[in-house]
Amino acid sequence: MDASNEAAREIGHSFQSLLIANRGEIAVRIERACKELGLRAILVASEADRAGAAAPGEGGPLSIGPPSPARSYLNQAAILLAARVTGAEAIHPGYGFLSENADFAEAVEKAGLVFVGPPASAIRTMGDKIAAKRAMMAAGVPCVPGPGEPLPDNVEAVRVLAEAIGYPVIVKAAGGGGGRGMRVVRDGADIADAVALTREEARRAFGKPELYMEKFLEHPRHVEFQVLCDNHGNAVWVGHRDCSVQRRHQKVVEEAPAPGIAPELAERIGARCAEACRQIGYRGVGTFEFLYEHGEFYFIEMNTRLQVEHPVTEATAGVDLVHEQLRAAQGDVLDTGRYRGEARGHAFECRINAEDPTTFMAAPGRTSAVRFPSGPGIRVDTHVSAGYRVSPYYDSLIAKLIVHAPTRDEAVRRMQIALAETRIEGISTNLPLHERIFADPDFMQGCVDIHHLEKRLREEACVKA
Amino acid sequence: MSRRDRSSGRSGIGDFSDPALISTLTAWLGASGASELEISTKDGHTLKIVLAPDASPVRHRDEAQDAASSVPEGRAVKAPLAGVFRDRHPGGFGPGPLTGEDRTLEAGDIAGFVEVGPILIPVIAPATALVAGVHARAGELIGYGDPVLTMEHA
Repeated sequence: MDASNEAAREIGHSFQSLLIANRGEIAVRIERACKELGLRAILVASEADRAGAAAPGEGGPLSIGPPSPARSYLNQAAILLAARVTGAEAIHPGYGFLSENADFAEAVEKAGLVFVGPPASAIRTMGDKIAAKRAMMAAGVPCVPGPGEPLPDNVEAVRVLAEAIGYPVIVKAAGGGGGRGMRVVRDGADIADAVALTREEARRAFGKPELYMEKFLEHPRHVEFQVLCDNHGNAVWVGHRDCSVQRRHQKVVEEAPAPGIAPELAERIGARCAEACRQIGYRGVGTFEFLYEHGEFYFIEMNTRLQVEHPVTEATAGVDLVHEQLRAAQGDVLDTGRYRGEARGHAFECRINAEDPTTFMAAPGRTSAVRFPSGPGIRVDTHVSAGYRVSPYYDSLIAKLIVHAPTRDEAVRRMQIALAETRIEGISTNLPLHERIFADPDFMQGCVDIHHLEKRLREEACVKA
Repeated sequence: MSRRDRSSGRSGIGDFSDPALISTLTAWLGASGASELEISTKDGHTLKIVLAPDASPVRHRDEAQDAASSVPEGRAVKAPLAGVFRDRHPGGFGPGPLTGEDRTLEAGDIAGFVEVGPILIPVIAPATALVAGVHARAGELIGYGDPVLTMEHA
């Protein structure tokens, strides 16, 4: 790439047409943002998604491949060819699929298009847990106690490190994620076996035997900070969220702001996140995920993309994150004075999935009737209407129900009513689970930890048995 | 807002003898699920790449998963990838459209092309049969799996 292209890429450049390389509710969300900004949105879909539409037929998204993600939404060549044939000038990857694939980001830029996301180098840095931790430590972002470098091969040296950190510790694969490739060690006698097993698992599952070790936190909450950056060295944090209500490492309910966090502490952590972004040359939107325990934050990872739960921050920070993301990609200068990390009111998001409410197995099928609530402080992000066929090929998320109210208690009440008014017939959904969560006294009080939902589900199972 | 632009995209591709270019095109071809492509330039140069049977890295990986989509709907002949449909070779070879209603195509005949920039992917008749209907219109954007024509046994 010549110097002029390199310079153009560094500051971004304007575009009029955008290919949305994703599906479902996020494709609808990005399409709406394009309309608001006067951009031409180009939608693509797999054969399964085109056939599953409530009113399939002429027009609609351009089919790019068969149902399997590998041949459609993860097929870089098919997406680049579709961009070429439709005259797209930019590609928005949404979340999941290719959104955190540095090679894809690079291929998009190489094809002369704008990748709506951070530079490939930033995706690579943050995708490697060890490199990410090192970068965060350099920026003064608090990390979980443990060396920011791969574990040595020598077991005795590992044992010394573990004792310095203090048990319990967790051994993790550097290239892992989603709860795989990690082991908790509570005693020095188990460290050698844990390291050997995790290293082998890392080699097999992720093709990378590197491990690292950290202090294991027993009852943390999951709290994350949203950042916004442009291509001119400006970065701000715009709010924090609590995503502790999880099942099998999958978030179920999110809220903003995270309850019970002292404003001065949030300001200090948020400012360090923004500083880290400036140091790694970040662009667009991003999320720093932390564990939070006993009043301390511990960085776990950065997501270099738009998050599923971005609407709760939009509601409380008064920001349109997709607009900001598109503006940053076009090289606009971020209005840093507009965002100060302050939350207005409280917001919740329920992820509504097509799944069996008891077994939590995905439950694809065709919806026969769909009715979502409406009214003040209620937002529904969805691609689903009556007659829509939920595909077995993809994530089972069919809608996000978001409420916003002046206080947390009012937002809880608003969500209880909104859930009761939601009707999705023809398929099973996790609506009953959400209703139980919003009737749980501990949850209503706030500040539950990441194990709370699974513990509650186990208790319910015992009662039934 | 128009979701389907009829533009055939930007033209211009590097040196056809460049192994890296051929390698990239071959990877794209494999990923698209098609088996051959042909590129022609205005100055008369042509590059044709034909994948050996079973050479596509993607073709078998998800075969079981895609079984439902590979079931033919009637005798529809579908587009092998997204692009602009051409009813004849853009180089001007031949007198007119390669197919039309009530014409008989032999198995292996080229019924049209899908064009993506400088790449041409042929749409091939899977069996000897009568063309009952042509669904794709020349110059229009079609998607992967969109029906190009319907064939009936003569």
